[in-house]
Amino acid sequence: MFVASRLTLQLTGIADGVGELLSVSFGSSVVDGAGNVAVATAQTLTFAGEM
Amino acid sequence: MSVDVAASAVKDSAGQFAAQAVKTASLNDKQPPTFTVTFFPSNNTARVAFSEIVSNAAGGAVAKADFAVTISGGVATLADFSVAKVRLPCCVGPHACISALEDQACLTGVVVLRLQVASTVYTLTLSVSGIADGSETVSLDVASSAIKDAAGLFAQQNAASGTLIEKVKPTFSLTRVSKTVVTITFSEPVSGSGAAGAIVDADATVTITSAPTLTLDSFSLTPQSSTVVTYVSTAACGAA
Repeated sequence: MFVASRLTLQLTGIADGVGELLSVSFGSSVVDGAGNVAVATAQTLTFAGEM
Repeated sequence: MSVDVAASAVKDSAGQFAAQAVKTASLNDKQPPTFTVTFFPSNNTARVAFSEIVSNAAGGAVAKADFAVTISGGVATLADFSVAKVRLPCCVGPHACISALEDQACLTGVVVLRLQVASTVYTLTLSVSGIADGSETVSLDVASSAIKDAAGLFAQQNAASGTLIEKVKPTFSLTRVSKTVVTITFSEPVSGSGAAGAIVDADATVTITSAPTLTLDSFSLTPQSSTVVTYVSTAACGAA
C-alpha cells in the first residue's frame, strides 16, 4: 500500500498571496493503516503576505 | 461400550453355560467443555464458542459473572461488558432460515420443520472507554469453576488475548512554504484513492474563501515523502 504522511500542495491563480484564506479538507477516501478515516474538519491557513 | 460373555465360558453350579447376550452402555462424558474466542475489529465485540452446550455453575444461563475480561496497556479501558447467547437461525433446510428462535422448536403453523439446536456461542459486547491507540491488550477467559457441561464438567480456564484496533483518526496541519506552495503534514501515514493507495487531487477539497476577487484556478498534491508498507485490512473479519 502506497502511504504518505506529507504532501505538497501546489496552488495556482492566487493574485498576490496576501490575505487569502486557504481551506483544505479530505474525504473519506483518506485513511490510515487501520482504516480510520482522516478527520473531516477543514484546516485553514491565512496568507499573511509575500514570501 | 458392549459387553458379552464368551461362548461356553461361564457356567453355573449345574454346569449350564450362560447364554451370550450383548449388553451395551454409553460411557460417561469425561471431557470438559472447551472454548475458542474471536475478537472483532470493532473493538467492542468478542465471540466465545464452546465445544458443547454449557450452563453456569448452578445450571442456569451463562452470564457476565461467568467470564473474566480485561483490557491493559494503551489508552482505552474496559468500562463494562455484557453477555448474550447467539441466536441460531430457525431453518427449513440448509439455506432457508426463517427466523431466530433460541433453543426452541422451529414451527410454521403446526408443522415442526426442524428442532432447533441449542446455541453454544456467546457474544460479549465490550464497552470501551477512550480511543484505542492499538497498544491495548484485551484478555478474555472463563471464570474459575463457572461454566459447565451437562455432565457437570467445568470448562478449564484458558485465557485468550488480542489487541485492540487503533481508532485514532489521522489529523493534518498546513504550513505555508512559499506564495503558492503549502505543505500538508498528517499525524500518521495515510493512503488515498489513487493507484496503490496514493493520495490524489480527488481526495482533497481546496478552496480560497476570503478574497472574492482572487480565485484558485487549480491545485495539485504531491507526496513529499512516501514509503511502501503492507498492513492487514480489518474490513473482512466479520460484521460485528
